[in-house]
Amino acid sequence: MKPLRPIAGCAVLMALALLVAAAQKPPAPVAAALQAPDPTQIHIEGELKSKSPDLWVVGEFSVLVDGQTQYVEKRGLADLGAWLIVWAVSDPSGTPRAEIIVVDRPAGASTPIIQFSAVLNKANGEWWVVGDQMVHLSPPVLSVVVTPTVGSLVTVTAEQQDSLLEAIRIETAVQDPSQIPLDFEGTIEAMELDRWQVDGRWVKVPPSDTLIIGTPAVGKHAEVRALLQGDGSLLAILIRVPEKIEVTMGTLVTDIAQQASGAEVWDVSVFPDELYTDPYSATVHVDGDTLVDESRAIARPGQWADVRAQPLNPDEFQAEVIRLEQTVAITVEGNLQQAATASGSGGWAQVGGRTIWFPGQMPRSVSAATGGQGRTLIEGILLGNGIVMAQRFIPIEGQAP
Amino acid sequence: MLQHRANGRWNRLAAVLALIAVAVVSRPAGSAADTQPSPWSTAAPIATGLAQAGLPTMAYTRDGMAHAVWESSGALYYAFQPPNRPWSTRVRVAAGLSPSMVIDANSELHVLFANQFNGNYEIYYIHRRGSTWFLPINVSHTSGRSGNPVLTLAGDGTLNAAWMDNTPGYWTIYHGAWSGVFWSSQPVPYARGQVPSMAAAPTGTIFLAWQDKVPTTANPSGEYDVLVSELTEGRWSLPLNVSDSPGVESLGVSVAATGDGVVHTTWVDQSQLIQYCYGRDIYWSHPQLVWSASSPAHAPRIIADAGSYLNIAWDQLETIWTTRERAMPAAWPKPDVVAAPVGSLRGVTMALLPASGVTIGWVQAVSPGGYGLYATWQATGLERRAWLPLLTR
Repeated sequence: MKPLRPIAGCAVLMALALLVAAAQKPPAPVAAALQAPDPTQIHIEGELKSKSPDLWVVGEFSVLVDGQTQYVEKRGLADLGAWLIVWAVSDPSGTPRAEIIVVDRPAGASTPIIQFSAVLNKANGEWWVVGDQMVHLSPPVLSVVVTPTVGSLVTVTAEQQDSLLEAIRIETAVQDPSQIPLDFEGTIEAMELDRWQVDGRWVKVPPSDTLIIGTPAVGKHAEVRALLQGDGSLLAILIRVPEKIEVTMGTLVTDIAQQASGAEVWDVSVFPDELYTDPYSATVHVDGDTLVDESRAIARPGQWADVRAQPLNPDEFQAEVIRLEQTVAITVEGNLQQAATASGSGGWAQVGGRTIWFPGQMPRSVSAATGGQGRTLIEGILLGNGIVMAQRFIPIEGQAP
Repeated sequence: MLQHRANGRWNRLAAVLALIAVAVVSRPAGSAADTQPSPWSTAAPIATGLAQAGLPTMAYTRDGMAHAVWESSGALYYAFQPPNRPWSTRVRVAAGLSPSMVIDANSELHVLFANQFNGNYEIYYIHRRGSTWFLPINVSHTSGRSGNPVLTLAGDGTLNAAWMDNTPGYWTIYHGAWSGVFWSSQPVPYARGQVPSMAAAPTGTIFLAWQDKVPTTANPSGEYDVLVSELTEGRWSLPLNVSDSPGVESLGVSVAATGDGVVHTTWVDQSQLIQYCYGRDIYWSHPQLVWSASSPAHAPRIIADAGSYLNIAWDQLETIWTTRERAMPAAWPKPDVVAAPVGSLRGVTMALLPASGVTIGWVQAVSPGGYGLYATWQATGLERRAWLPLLTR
C-alpha cells in the first residue's frame, strides 16, 4: 500500500487554511469607515459650577461657549447653581463646544432625583454600597422602609450631588432572595375560607398574612402579590381589587387642548371593537404620567391613537398609555354594499373588501347618488383599526344603478 | 505494520481537522452568488379573529420551533409553531402590554412587559421553561411609570433590559440586568427620552438607542433625534446624537449589532425617509437613506444575521416593506413588499430563522374586532457549506 501521508498532510493544510479564514478580522471597510469621527452631538448635563466668557463648567464637564451657542432659558436663567442640559460637539481643542444650552432647573431648585435598585453589598454607618454605587445616608431626611440586610434587594431614591448620591429614601424591594414576590392578576373564580382561585391559580389567603384592598367578590378582577411556598403553593401577601378596570380603545384624535397645568385634554372619536358600531365622542385626559409613545407618529389632531385608560365616566377617560399612528390617505374602488348604522351619526359600508365609515350626513348623499349599491370610488383615510373613513365618494359612471 | 498504523492515524487526524474546518467555516462573506435569498413565503396567520392586537415579538428555538408573544386588550398571549406544522392555539400568559422576547441557548423563553399593578406601571419578567410559564416578577421597582421594555441576551448569556421611566419627573431610559435571582436597575446617565431599542455585541458591549427631543432657540420644545449610548466594562458612554437632524422629527429607532462589534441603527425621518447609520464608540457614519417611502413609513426594525447581512423591515400602514444588504453598504437595494394591502398593517417584528433566514411578523386589522397576526419568512441560503478537499491517489 502506498503511504497516504502526503495526501493527509494536504488535507491538514487545507483544514488549517480554512480555520484561519474563519478567524479572519472584520472586512477592511469596517475599520476604515470607523476611523474618521464626525463632530457628533453629545448630551451632557449637570449643575453650572462656573462660567467665564468662553468656558463653562457643567457638572463633571468643561464646555466651550461662543457666539454660535444657543441658550434656551424658558425654565430659568443660566446662573451658577442652575441644572443645565448641554448639547455639544467635539472641538479641535479637545473640549466639547456647546451648541445648545437648556436651563432645566434654575439655581436653588433641587437636583434631579434618581432611583435605582440593586443588592445591598455593604452597610457601614452613613455609607452604604448598593450594587457598585456608594450612597450617603443623611439620617434627618432619610426614610428607610423595612431596614434591609446585606444581600437584600433595595431601591434607593437619591439626589445627585456631583458624583455623590445623597439618599432620600431606601426601600427593601426583596428581603430574602428565595422569596421574590410574584405579581399576577385576573378574575376571582372562587373564594373559599382561606384560599381563592384567581386567573386559574389557587392562592392561600390567610387573614393574618394577606392585605386585602377593595371589595373582593367572585367575578371581579384582582391583582395578587404572592410568595411561592416550599410545597409549591402560593401565599398571597396582597390582593387588590380595583374599582375600575382599564380599557383599551382605538380612537381618532380630533383636538388637543393644552391646560395651564401642563396637562392636555384630547377630544377623540372612539371606535368600538364591534363591527358596524358607530364611533362616539369622548374626552381623554393626558398628564405627565401618561406614556405617550411617539415612536410612530407625533401627537396632533388627525392621528390615530390606541389608548389604554381608566374610565372616569362613560365618555371621559384618564389615559395611561397612548400609542400614536399616522393615518394614511387611501383610495378604494369597488362595489358598494351599505350596511345598517346604529346611531345615525354616520353610516357603514363595504367597498372593495374594506370597511368604510361615512361620517355625518355622507350616507344620505351616498344613498341618493348610488341607491346604496354600485361601483364606487372612495377617497379617505386608513385608520389604525383597518377602517377607511371616507372623505369623498365618486359613483363610477355607467355603473351606478 | 507500524507504517500502516501511522498512516491510519494521520488519516484520522486529517479527517477530524477537515470536519472541524467544515463545521466552523460558513460561506465567505460577500459571496453574493451564494447568498441569494429565496422569495418571501405567503403570509401565514399566527392568530386571527382578535378583538385587538399589537406589538408582537417573535423568536425561534434551535429545534426550529417558532414562538410569538403579543398583546391584546391588556393581556399577553403566546403561540408556537413546530416546524412544518400550523400555529398552536393561543394561550394567555399574563396581564400586560408591550412584550419583548428573547430565547437563550437552552431554549428557555424570556419575556419582559409592562403592566399596571397596585396603581403603578412596572416592568415585569416571565419565562417559559419546558412548557411551563413562570409567574411575573418585578423588574423595574420604580415609583414612576415604566413602559416600552426591550430585552436582549448578552454574549455571556446574561439578560439585559431597557425601558422608559418617568420617575425623575421626565422620561428617562433605564437599564436592568438579571443576576439569576434579582433584576437590578438604574437610569442610564444623561439618557432622557423614550422608546429604547437595545442590542448586544459578541464583544460584551451593550448598545442602547432611543429618541429624545433636542430643543433650539427657535423651537424650545424641540424635535426628536436619535441618541445612542453603549455599556462597556460597567460604564455608559455619553449619549451621542446620531441622527442630528435639526428641524426634522427622527422617530422609531431600532438597533442591531454584528459580530465585529459594530452597531447598526435605523429610524424614520419626516415620516417617510428610512435612515440607517452605523458605528461604535465615538465613531459614527453619516445617516444613509435606505428608502424614501411614497406614504408615511413607521418604526423600521433591523436585524443582523450571522453572515453580517442586515435586514430592515417597516410598515407603511397599507403595506410591509423590507430590504436586505451586507452591513455598511454603499447603497441599499430597492425594498420588497412582503404583505398584500389588506386593512392596516403595523407592529413589524423580525426574528432569525435557525437555519439562516428571516421571519417578519406584523399585526393586521381589517375592521374593529378583526385583528390578526401574520408572518412571512425568507430563507437566505447561508447554510454552512462543506468545502472538502478532493483526495486523489
